[in-house]
Amino acid sequence: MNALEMNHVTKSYGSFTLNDICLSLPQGTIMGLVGENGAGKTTCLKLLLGIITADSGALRLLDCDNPRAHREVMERIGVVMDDVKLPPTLKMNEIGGIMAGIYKQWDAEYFNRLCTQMHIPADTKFSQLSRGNRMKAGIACALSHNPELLILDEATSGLDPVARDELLDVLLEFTRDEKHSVLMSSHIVSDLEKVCDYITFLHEGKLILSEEKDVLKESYGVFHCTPAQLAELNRNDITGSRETAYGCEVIMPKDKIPAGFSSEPVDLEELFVLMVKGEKHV
Amino acid sequence: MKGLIRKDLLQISRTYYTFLLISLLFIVLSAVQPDNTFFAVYGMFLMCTLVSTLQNLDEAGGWAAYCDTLPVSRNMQVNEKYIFALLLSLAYIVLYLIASVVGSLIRGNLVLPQLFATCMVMVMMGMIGTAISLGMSFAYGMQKSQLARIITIAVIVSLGMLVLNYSSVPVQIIAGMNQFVLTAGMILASVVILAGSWKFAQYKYEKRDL
Repeated sequence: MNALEMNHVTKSYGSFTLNDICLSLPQGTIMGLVGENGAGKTTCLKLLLGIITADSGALRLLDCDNPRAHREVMERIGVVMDDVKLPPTLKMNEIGGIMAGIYKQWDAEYFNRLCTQMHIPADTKFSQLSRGNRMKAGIACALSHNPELLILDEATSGLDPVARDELLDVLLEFTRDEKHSVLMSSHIVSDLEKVCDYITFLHEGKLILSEEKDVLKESYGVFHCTPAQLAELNRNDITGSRETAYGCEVIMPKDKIPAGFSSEPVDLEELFVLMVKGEKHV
Repeated sequence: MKGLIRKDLLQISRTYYTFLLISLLFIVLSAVQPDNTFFAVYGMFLMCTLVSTLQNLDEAGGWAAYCDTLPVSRNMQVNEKYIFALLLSLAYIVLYLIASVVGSLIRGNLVLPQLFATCMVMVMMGMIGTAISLGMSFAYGMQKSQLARIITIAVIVSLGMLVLNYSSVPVQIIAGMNQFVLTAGMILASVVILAGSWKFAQYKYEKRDL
């Protein structure tokens, strides 16, 4: 069963169009949504949540096509958008009290434990917390009602490396139970690489790839060559390429790499950058 | 809903406690001067604008948009603010009643019909004030609602002035009416205005991009 599905979803905003997006997140897995600024990551998440409506296509979240219209579905989802906007004059325990009145399944004990574990100051007003702590507060709120699906939009941005690592541990712990799924967007590809089972690349409103992380890493290789050698390669086989002062760097499916070139394993950030640049240059 | 009301109570006590103190001062002043209903009614008006200010703060601070990610529908947000405004108005009237009765008993001149009449004016002010201020806030957002509110009040006052200047018939009709019927009619009209505003706010807020 899939925790969420997008089938041929299109949404236009002025000059920006999110075009024909198809993706699905199997239950019990983590999917990373990667894309440059303005690629359409937040639009995707807002569409899924029903905050904005699609021009065409079909969406399903926890088997529901309009989660915002069904309170019981929203109860099963935890969301952290890129800027957490909790009431500025309130402290964490007061925020916990408010959430207890909003969520039926609120676990105050777990919320307090998370706040302590993530070192969120209890006696500081929300507006006086650092950006990192505000983000952690949002994450604590999103996790403390035992959601089945967690949707995170740039949740690790603004966190220091230690806090990011702690958050990733929390996510891994969360998905240990195979009923729990996570969809997270991030610029920090290395974070996604650590925890995600699936990776989706978005570029200028288009989905350029959505695949299992391990399959991606096994399928693609990066190798170095000269500009002349690059020119001889079949352009259709090249996933992405980059010319530097020292030669060319090329990413291709491993089975397409010509004999004589020794390929290295590709990391996701490199793959994404070269795919995006490759699309522009090739 | 419980969580939203709790949030508003906490936020009002933190951010707008001066408003609350001024309103309490108005209650005391109206209890000291029972013939002067201005303070009591104006205090009620402050209560109504306080809740719409709170809604504007929610929008400006991003809480309203954050609610879209919680199991809180737009309708629920609208309902909560209207209910909160009515609860606040009710609390204000109860406090006014207590202060007035105590003040009158101390002075030894408790006039129940006058107290009842003032309370009815406060009830109407509470409903109409809430209808205008909250309706506009939900429908047009923080900045446009200020202008919309001014225009609405200006239109209502201008129409009233126009009718009164054009003919003295409405005044004669009102003067000739049974007081009970008049009061009941005005309360009913206030309820209708409040219900209309409530529905209008739900309709417009559902469609707004926060």
